[in-house]
Amino acid sequence: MKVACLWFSQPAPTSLLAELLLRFSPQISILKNKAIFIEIGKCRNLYSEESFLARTRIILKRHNQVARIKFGCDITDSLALAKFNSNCIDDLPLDALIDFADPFERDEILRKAVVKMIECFQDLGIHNIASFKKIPTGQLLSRFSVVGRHCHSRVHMTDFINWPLWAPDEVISQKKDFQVGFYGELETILFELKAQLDHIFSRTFSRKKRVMKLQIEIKCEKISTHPNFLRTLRFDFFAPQGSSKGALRIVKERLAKEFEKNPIRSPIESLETKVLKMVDFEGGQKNIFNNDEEKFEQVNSIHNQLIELLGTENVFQAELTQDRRPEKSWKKKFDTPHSPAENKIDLTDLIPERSTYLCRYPVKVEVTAGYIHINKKRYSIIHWDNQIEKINGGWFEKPVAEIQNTFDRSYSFVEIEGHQKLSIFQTKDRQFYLHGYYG
Amino acid sequence: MGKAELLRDLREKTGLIELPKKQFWTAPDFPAGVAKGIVVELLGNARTEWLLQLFSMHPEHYIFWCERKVAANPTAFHQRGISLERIKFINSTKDLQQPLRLALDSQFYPFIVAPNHFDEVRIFQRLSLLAEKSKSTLFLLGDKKFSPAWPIALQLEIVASESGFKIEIQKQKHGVAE
Repeated sequence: MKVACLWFSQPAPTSLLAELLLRFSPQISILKNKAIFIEIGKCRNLYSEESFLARTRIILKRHNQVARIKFGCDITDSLALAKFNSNCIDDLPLDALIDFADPFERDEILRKAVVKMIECFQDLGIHNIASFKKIPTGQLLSRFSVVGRHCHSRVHMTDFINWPLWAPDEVISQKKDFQVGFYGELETILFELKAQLDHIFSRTFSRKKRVMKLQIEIKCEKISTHPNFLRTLRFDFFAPQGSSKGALRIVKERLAKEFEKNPIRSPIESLETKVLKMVDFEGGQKNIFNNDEEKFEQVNSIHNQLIELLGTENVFQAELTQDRRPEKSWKKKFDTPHSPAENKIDLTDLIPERSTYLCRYPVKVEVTAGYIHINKKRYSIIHWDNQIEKINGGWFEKPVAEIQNTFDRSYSFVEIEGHQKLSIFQTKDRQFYLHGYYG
Repeated sequence: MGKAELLRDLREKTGLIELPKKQFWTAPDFPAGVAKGIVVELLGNARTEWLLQLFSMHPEHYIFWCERKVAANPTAFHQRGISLERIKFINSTKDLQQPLRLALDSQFYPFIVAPNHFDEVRIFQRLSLLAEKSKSTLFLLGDKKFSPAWPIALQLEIVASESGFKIEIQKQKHGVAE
């Protein structure tokens, strides 16, 4: 077993930092606000001690924390080495015995007994662990009974401690309370949110997760002229988000819209970001042969932003259907952008070339000798190609209730003055409709 | 340096500024090609047909197609040899500047098509700068008249003719081939 101990001389958010260190190993324990223990022996083929040190220091630096990092073969020795900043157990002062006996500070009575024992040995001229280790077990037992025996076995590394269970928080959230009223609009809030999102995404990254749903709560001071003092914004991302860069763009779009409608009229008291849903992702080394993953993320990020900006209905891909009617020959597809169609329907060879644009509703037109009247304007016909396509049917869609739902169209290709090409159909009752145009 | 030499030098420099070296898309019935990273305005009753032919000549690139209301017929696009997976359709009755900015910023869409409802030169200038940066070509489909905005580098009127397309160049200052 190889244990790394991070000792913080100042109180530190050990639980939060431990979560970030999950990327190294799932076996982690913490001594609240003081130390973090990570079992790295089983992962020795994934990284070396040097790379662990370098990466951990970067993580700590990002979170403005300083820690002493030492390696040992158990929690006890790694803690003592880190706490007393030593590289050898034998050089440790006798005070380190407390950390050997009770590293997680759980047994107050034991600690008192060990302190008494240390004082006795110091009076006898034993000042370090090396000297203590030389004392025969029999002598320790007769004078300090079980406590002496316990310390002896811990120092000789014959008794290993159980790792107390530590599990990361179930809900990932970041909150900032502003003691003095925080006056801000979009940019200032985004500045604060950037820091919160950075923390959140580093936490989700170490759990090998990505964010699907996020909630941002802006709490303002409650005043009578500000009814919307509590804003809760929920983000249901189209694609899982793995970094604050992409997510912040989406957040920015929403906040800009929100503040345009309901501006903030009182100081902000707190800002909280909470993750509501996460999904797994396969973290790993970046593909050095192609950048498909980056492209995929980029496309999804643009798609997300467009949806946020214009709404789901207005951002789509087209997919062909089997319907012969031009207006129903395709449908909107809202899922993953630029993904290939599942059922490829290709009727290209079976239908004549369609017009590039379709009228929303067919426009009724009048046809006289050599002329066509569209919206009360007269155009001369250069060419009229009859019976390009005949489409009928529809009776089976609503067979009983609405017999008028049937359709019977005879399409013609018409070229009018200025070489403008049109798609016109004639119904059974000899009415002409403009349905599309080329152009 | 003499006056003539100075003038020649200045003219060369001006020429360099006006005609930067660019990469070009090959285009149907338009041997000069369409430069990458510029704003193009198209008019005429065959502009979409021409555009679709241009897109089918470059099948590996994605297309960003903006509209005010759904009018384009994807079935026709497919019939002209364009895979529908390549096209992202956008509908917006609001200002199209933001979606266009996003598409240009992303550098993912080499072809961007949008209706030309802009009138401020500032907007064209912004779009032109973004297009130049992303090397995407922004095709603006004009209404009836060409826009007088100077950032538009290429203005073409494309009408259908019996032989195919009849292209009239209104403005062409989109650089020279590399």
